[in-house]
Amino acid sequence: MKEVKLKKKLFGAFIEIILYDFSKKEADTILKKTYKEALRLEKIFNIYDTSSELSILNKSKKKKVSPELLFVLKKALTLCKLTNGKYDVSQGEEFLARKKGLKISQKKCSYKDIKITKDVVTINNSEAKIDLGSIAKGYITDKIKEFLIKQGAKSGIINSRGDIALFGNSTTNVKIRHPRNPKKVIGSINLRNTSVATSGDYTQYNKSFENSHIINQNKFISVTVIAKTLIEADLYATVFMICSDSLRKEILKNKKGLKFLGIKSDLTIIKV
Amino acid sequence: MNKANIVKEKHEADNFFSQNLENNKKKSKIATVEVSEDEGYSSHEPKEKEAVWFIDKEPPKDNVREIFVRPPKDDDYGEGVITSAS
Repeated sequence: MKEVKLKKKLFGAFIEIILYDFSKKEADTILKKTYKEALRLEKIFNIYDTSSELSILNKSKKKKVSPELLFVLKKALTLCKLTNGKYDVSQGEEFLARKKGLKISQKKCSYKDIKITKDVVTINNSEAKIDLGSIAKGYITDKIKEFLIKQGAKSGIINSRGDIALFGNSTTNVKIRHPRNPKKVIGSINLRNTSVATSGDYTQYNKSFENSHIINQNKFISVTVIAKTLIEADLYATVFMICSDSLRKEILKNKKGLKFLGIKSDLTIIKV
Repeated sequence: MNKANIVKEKHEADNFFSQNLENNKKKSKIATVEVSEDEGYSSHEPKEKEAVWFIDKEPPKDNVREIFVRPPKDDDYGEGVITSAS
C-alpha cells in the first residue's frame, strides 16, 4: 500500500504520522490543519509552559476551564478515586522533582483537594499541582486521529513518541522492547484500528531503575495496554504500573476491549 | 344518499383502515427479525479475530509494518516543553 510519512514537532520532539490514502501534497495540506489543532491542545496541558491553561489553573487555584481540560481532568480523577490515590494527579510537584533527581518532602495534598463545580476547577491546597502528563499525550493523539479521519483519512498510524494510535484496516506489528535489554524484543502483537501505550521504569530514571519517574510503582517494570482510544491505553498503562493485582484483575474483567501485557522485575510475563 | 348513510359508511371505512393497520402491525411483528448486536459487531458482519501476543517468538511474516511502543524518554521533550509523565 502506498504511504506518506510525515513528521511534526509536538510534545517537545517529533511525532510521526503515516497516511495511506493521500498523495504527499494532499497529506501535507491535511496535516497542516491537523497540526494547528494539535498545537492548540498541547498548549492546554503543558505544565512547563507558564502560560498554559493548566499552569494558570495550578497558579490561580481556581479557574473556569476549557471543555478539553475538564474532560481529561474528570477522566483522571475517576482513576485517582478507583486506585484510592495511588494514581494521583495532584502530585505534579513531586513528579517534576523526581525527574530532576531531587528529593523533596512528601507533599501533604491529594486528588481529593481538587473540586469541580460545573466547569470551574478549584484546588483547595497550596501544595497541590495538577499534572495530566500521564494521559494528555494520549488525549491529544486521539484528537489528531479524529481530525485526520474528518479530513478524509481512512487508514494510518500516529506514533506519538512511543504511544501508538492505529486507524483503518492496515495491520501493524507492534513490538515491545525488553525492559532490561533495549536491543531485545520481548514480544509483539498484530493490531489494527486500535491504540497501544506502554508505561515502564526503563526510559526515565535517576541512576537506578528503582528511582524512576513513576510514583508508587508496584512489581511491574513494564506495562503495555491496548485500548480503543489512546487516552485509555495511556491511563491504564500508568494505573496498572501502580495498582494492586486485585484491582488490575477487576478492571480487566469489567472493562471490555482492554488487552494487557505486564513484565515483572523477575521478567515473568502476565498477559490478557 | 342521506346524511345517516354517509356517517355509517365513514365509520365502516375507518374501522376497515384501523383493522388493516392492526393486521399489518401483527404481520410486521411476525416478519421482524431481531439482529443481535455483540460488542459493536452485528451478526451479519464478520467478527474481528482477537489479536494474540507473540512472546519470545517471531510473528508470522505477513509483510506488515513494524513499530515499537515504548514509555516516554526524557529526551522526548525539548527544554520547558515536557507534557507527558506516563
